[in-house]
Amino acid sequence: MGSIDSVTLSVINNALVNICREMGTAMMRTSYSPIFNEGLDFSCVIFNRRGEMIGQAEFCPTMLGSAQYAVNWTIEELGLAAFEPGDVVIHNDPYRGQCHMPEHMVLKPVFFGGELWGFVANIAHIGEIGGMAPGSFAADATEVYQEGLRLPPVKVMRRGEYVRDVWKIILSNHRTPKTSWGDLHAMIGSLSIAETRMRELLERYGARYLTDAGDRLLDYSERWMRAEIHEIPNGVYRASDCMEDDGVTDRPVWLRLKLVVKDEEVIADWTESDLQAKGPVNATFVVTAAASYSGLLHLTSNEIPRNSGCYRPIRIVTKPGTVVNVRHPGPSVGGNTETHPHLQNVVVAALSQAIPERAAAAEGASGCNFLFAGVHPDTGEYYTNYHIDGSGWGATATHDGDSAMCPENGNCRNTPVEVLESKFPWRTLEYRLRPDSGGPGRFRGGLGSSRVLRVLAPEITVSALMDRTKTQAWGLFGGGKGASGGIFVKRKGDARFRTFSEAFGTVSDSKFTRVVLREGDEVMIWSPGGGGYGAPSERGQGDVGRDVRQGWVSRDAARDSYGNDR
Amino acid sequence: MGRWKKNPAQWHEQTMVYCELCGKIIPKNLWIAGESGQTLVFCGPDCEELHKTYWLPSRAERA
Repeated sequence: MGSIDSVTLSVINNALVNICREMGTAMMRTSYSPIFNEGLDFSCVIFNRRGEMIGQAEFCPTMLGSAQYAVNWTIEELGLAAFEPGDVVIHNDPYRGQCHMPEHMVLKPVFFGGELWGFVANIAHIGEIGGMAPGSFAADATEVYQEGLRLPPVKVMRRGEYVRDVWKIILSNHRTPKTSWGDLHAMIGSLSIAETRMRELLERYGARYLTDAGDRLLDYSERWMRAEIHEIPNGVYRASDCMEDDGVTDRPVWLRLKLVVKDEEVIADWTESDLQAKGPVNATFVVTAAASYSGLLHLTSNEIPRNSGCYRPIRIVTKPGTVVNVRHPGPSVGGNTETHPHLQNVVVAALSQAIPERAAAAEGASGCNFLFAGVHPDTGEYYTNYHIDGSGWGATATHDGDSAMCPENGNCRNTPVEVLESKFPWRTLEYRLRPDSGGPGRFRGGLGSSRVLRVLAPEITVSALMDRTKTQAWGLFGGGKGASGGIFVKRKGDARFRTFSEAFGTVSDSKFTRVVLREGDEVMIWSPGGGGYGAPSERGQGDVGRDVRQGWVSRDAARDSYGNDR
Repeated sequence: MGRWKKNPAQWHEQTMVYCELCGKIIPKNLWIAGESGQTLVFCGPDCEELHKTYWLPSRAERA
C-alpha cells in the first residue's frame, strides 16, 4: 500500500459519501411510490471487490448495516467471475443475507480498464411484492412464503439488456406492477449514476490508488471505533425488551442481550432471547447484527467514517431458531421495522449503565406500518400503499426527544397530508402531536402523533403492523415512560373509536391484515411517545411552561409530573 | 486449526448451514473446525476463535 496523505483520504471519503447522496437524490426524484419519493425508505452504498462497504451516506441504518451481508452473499453465491459490465443483480431473500422481503437490493459491478473494481448498490423498500396481504406486510403470516415474492440474487440486467424472463416473474407477482416497474428503474438508474461517478474517480486516481484509499478508510474507521469502545468501561451489561405480541399469538416475545465490553471489542450476545415467534416479528441474523451496529454507532462519535471498518470490533452471537435469528421458513417482515428498533434500544439501554451521558431513553420504536389497497374511485385503478408514522424519540442527557419521527433505525420521512390525499381516497381529519405522550423527565421524551383518516372510497382494505401499543418506551435515570400507541377504528355511524380486535375480532390490536373498511369509516393511528431522561423535578419550570403553552403537556400533567401548578 | 471447504450443495438444493457461533447462514465457504472430536462449522476463523475464547467459557460458567 503506497503513501496517501490524510487530506487526499478525506477528499476521497467525501467523494464516496457524495456519490451515495447523489444516488439517493436520483431515486427520490424518479421513483413512483410515496414510500420512495416522500418516505426516502432506501439506502445507497459502495463496495470494493472484496465485498467491504467503503461508502455510504445518511440513509436507513437498518439497510446500511445489512447491506454488507446482502452484498457479500451475492458475491459468494454468484462468484466474481459471473459479473459483466452492465449487469444488475436483484436480491431480497431474508434467508440469503437480506433483512426482510420488501427491502430489495440492486447491485451493479463497476469495471475499470477491463477489470472488476467494485460494486455500487442500493437497498429500497418496494411497496408491494405480492403475498397474502396487499402492501406485503402480512402481520399474521406464519411463514415467509406468505410475505411476497422471494428473490435470490438473480440478474435483472445482463450486459445492459433486460433479462425479460426474470422481469416477467417479478411483475406478474406484484399487485401494482406499474409502480414496481417505476421504482425498480429509479433504483437501477441511481446505480448508473454511481457507476459513472465511480469511473470518474477511477480516472482521476487510478484503480490501485483508489483501492488502497478504500482499504485505508476501512482501517481508519476500525481504529477509531476501537478507540471509542476502549473508552467504555470493561464489563458485562444486560438489558431486555419485548415485542408485545407477534400478530398470531397474543403473548410477548422477549429480546435479551448480554453485552460484553472487553478492551477494544464488543460482543453482543443475544442467545438468551425467546424462541422464534409464530408471527412475523422475527428478526433475521442480519437485522440483529444491523441493530447491534446501529446501537453502537449511536453511542460513539458521529465523525467516524461509516464503512465496514466500523463493524469489525463488534461481534454478534445468536442462536438460529430464536426471535433474533429466524429459521426457515419463519416469517420476518416485522422484524426489520419493529423488532430492529427494539433491539437497538436494548443495546443503548445496556450501555446506559456504562456511559449514561451518551445514552438515550427508549423511543416509540414502531414504524406504525399501515397498509391499504383498493380501487381508486377517481381513476378506476388498483393501488396499494405502505404508510409509516413517526413516533417519539427518547430524551438524552442534554436534549428532549424529537417528536413524531420515524424510528431511528429507519431514518425515513413522514408523508405529507397533501400527498396522501392527492394519491389515495382518504381524507385526513386530524394530524397532530399527542399531548402528554412524551415521558416526563429533566429532558422530556418526544411526542407521538395522532392521525385520523376517513375512507372516501366504497371500500379500502387495510392492514397494520405496530408495536408498543400495550408496552411503553422506558425512561432513564428517573425519567418517565412514553405513552403507548394504538390503532383504532370507528365504523360509519358509531359514536366512538374501538380497537380492531373489538370491531373485527383480530387476534392482535396492533397487527392484523385484510380488514375491509367502507366509505365513511375512520381510522385513528396513535404513534407511541419516547421515554424521559432524568427526574422530572429537575426540569426547568420555564421549559414546563413552554410545553404547556405549546400544548405538548397538559396543565394536569404539568402539575402531577412536574409540580408546576401555574 | 480449521480449513475452508465449499458447501457441497448443488445449485438447486435450498440447504442452510448456520455458523456455530454467530448463527449466520453461510453462503458457500464453510470453515470446518474440530473440537473435542466434534466437527463444527463456522463462517471463518474469527468465529472459531470467539467460540473458544468466549462461547465455551461462558457456557461452562452458566452450567
